[in-house]
Amino acid sequence: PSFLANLFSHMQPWRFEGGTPVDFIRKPRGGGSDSMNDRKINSLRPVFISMGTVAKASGSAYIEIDGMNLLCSVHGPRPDSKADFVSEVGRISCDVRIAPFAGVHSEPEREKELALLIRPALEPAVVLSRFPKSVVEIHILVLEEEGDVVAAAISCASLALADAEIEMFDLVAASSVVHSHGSSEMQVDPATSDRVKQIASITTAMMPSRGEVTQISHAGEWDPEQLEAAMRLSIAACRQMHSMMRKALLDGAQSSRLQEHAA
Amino acid sequence: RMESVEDLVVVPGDRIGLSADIQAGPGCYVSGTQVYASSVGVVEVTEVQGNEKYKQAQVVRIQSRRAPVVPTTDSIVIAKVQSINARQAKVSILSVNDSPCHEPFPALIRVQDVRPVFTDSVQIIESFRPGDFVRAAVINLGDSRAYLLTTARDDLGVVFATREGVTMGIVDANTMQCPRTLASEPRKVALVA
Repeated sequence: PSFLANLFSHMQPWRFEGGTPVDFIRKPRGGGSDSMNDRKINSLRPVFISMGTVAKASGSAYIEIDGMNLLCSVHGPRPDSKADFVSEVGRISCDVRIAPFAGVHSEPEREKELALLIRPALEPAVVLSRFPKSVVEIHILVLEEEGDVVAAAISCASLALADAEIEMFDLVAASSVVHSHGSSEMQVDPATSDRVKQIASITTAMMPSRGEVTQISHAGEWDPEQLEAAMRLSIAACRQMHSMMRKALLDGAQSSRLQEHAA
Repeated sequence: RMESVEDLVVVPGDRIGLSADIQAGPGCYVSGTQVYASSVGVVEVTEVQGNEKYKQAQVVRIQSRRAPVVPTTDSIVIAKVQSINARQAKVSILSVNDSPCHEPFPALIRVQDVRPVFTDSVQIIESFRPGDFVRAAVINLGDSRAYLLTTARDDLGVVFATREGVTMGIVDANTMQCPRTLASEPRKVALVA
């Protein structure tokens, strides 16, 4: 619809066009999820990233991964009314909302649980000493759910923080690996169809430039060797995600620069 | 090597150079022996005063929309007086070093910090009134609820006040006057040279 074109016309929507060693299999939008037969175990699905989507927020980012639509907006630094004592460093707070039309029935408990998984992954990356006594609020809105929300939300929130000009030690990229029934292999960046029969999963969030993992969360039963293999796979996927995030930010900055020179 | 990093667009985590060669300015941080970027933007390299070889790098956001603004010690703020009592004036910080805040930060000015010399005769009611805009300096972060400000300098104090809707003019360091009614009111006025 044309109004959508107007909505996004001031931004440079960025779509990954390929060019990495890893294969990307493109599926038409709305085609649902990949099955394990069609996709290599170490390939990420195509990603669409758009920055600055929410005009009123300090910063925002929108991410689409084949049926998963996530919007993250960042507000702050704001005065921290919830603090009991003076703090030389700031803090970040995280709030997750799953839209009623997101395709998944969700309780408030699940939203709180997601927030508890997302915040600790981002906190080590933010330079909290730059905004003492203040809070940066991260609001995540899941518009359509598919695959792993936590990993996509962490990456999206990291982009939104960068858009909000909050200083960070590094971007945080996250990815998950799933081990399913009936398969000896693991799948990176699982779609919902990969997760339906999952035995175990692991989600890693890391700061790729610094080579530091900020969070690992794992569910289910893993053999120790499998777990190590899964973690390596997940970390490699994080690095791929990071290169896409980085490209999105750089392209946005370059186009701003061209606009600035043109003006 | 310095020339190659100038004008480079970076994202947080990108390496800028050695900390032995470059000083980390705004938008950068030092980790180990390297300087990294902590913001998205373009690297600007400037001279460091008094040192020819050492340069400072900073990351400047292209088309910055609203950079984070937080009051820090010794910054100059513009605040609006919300309420007063005998001991202090409660104010809301609206801008820090000429950058507007996203949201006002609560702060207070204690009676002993209003004027350069504190005597028993200093009164809040004769220095500030609710609705006044004051220029103040941040003493420190204060407590969990409010920053602590001071106006104990000649160039600090009330910069804008109204009386019955009419903007008052400055008479001297301690008085403002309404141009229409010529009524005077006591204030601790900021005198900018």
